[in-house]
Amino acid sequence: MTGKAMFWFIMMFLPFVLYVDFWQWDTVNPIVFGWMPWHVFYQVLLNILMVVIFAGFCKYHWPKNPFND
Amino acid sequence: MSGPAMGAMAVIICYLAITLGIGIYSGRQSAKSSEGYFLAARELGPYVMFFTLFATNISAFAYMGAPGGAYHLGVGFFGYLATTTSLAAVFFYAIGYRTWLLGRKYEFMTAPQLLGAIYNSRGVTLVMLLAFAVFTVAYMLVQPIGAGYVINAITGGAIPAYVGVLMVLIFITIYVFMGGLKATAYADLFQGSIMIICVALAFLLIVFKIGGPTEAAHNLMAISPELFGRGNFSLEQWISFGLVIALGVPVFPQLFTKYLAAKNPDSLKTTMTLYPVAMIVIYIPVLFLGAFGTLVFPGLEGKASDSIIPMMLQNFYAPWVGALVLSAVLAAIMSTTASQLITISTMILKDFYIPYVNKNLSADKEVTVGRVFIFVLAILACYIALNPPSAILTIVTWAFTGYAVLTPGILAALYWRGSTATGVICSVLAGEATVALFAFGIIPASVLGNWQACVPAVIISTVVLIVVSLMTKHSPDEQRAIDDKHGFMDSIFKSQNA
Repeated sequence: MTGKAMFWFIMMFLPFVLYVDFWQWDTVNPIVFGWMPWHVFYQVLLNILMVVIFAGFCKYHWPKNPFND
Repeated sequence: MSGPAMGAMAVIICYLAITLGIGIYSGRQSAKSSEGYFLAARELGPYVMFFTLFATNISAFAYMGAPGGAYHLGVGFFGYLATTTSLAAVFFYAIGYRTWLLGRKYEFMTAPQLLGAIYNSRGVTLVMLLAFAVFTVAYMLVQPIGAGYVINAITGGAIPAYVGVLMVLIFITIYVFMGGLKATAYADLFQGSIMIICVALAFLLIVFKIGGPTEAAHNLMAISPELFGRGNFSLEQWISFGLVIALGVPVFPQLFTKYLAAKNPDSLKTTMTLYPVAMIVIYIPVLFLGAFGTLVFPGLEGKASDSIIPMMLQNFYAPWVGALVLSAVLAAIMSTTASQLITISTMILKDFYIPYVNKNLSADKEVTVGRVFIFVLAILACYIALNPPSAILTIVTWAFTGYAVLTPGILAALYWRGSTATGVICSVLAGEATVALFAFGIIPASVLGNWQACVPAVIISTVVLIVVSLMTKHSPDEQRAIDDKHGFMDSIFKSQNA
């Protein structure tokens, strides 16, 4: 596996690891926007991180379409 | 029927009629060929693909079970449901793209057909067909039950649940029957949009009535602070559930149909990238509404909380407003059921009827026979929805776990040249046998502590896959098929790593 492929493999695997946020299991505060507990906001941020990773992956690492359409 | 119920009924009829019209109009040209009817001529563009995949995956659970769960367990459900589903999007590339490549080159139309062809093995096709069919048919058969309850609730009981079931099934069957996958996909485009708009509308309407989100959160923390934490979840449950969803969702057979129907890789790229956004947009409103529901209707027990959003809407607004917003629930049910209906009929036709019953079926008759299967499945769905047997409900409860144990075999077929047909077959059988042992209580769930059955089932299916593949050899035909398919994929992915 090349360095570039390893980088994207780690990036794609990273959200799976970050999903299990055992280090802040009972962290409710701060209450973001006045109504969203921190652990929920963290998961929202994680979803946004996935969007960024997936967009980067699609732009820079997705193989060329062999059918040219 | 009272005036308010008439208003609600009018909204539902309008919604169903618009969906039907979009489905019939968009699918009017698709029935001319088998590929056109069953795979929308492999022409689903990025945004149609995103909405159809999203609408297919979001079932009634998102609007009923999820808020009901948040009512009892709190908003921690968000990571449990939304993030895990977003994680599944990784497989839109890992499984979806390779499926699309193979489907495009070899003209595969179903997942069992594709997986069997990789090993030149009818055994793999049949085992995969059986596993997909058991869980998907059961899942499809019970979805309309939810629609019946929703219509019954929206109209204040004026329309009995069984009439609601029949209405929804008739509308779905007509547009799937007439337009195939293209009709389903374009109806999903409309229904996916409705799901997003209506859930946002429900959130705004209800939260406005309870003083805004900040005041509602403040009040909730004062009376039920545990609903803001994650004390009701254990880390073992968190990991188990992540495994079930992330591995189970991407191998739904109806998703394979969508992978195969993509116009080009851009369809998969757009879907993968936007998917986590959709999960935020859907699950934040429904879960907070579920938790805030304890402020309006405290003390609900068990499944009663599944109706918390309809109850709050009915409490604050006229029935037609509730009907408008609850169109999202009907959209979720109809989109999932329609996709399952077209996928199951395609699998029965391509993986069973043509190879084993009528090998000489001409291409122009395939659509006709497929339509017969759609009609028969719809009749069966009507019967089951009106008389649901307990075994079906048990299968549905375990469907996600049943799908998840297929993933090791599917990944092996797409990535591991050393895997064998025997290894994949044994992996599926061992995994599903483990699921059955837990599902029917032969092994008590208590032996797992807080872990769920999917963890041992996936481990067993993976270990069996590896051990049996290493112990068995490819036949010459199998080896040729593997070299052919993997050679094609390797030629594409080598350029990626250059």
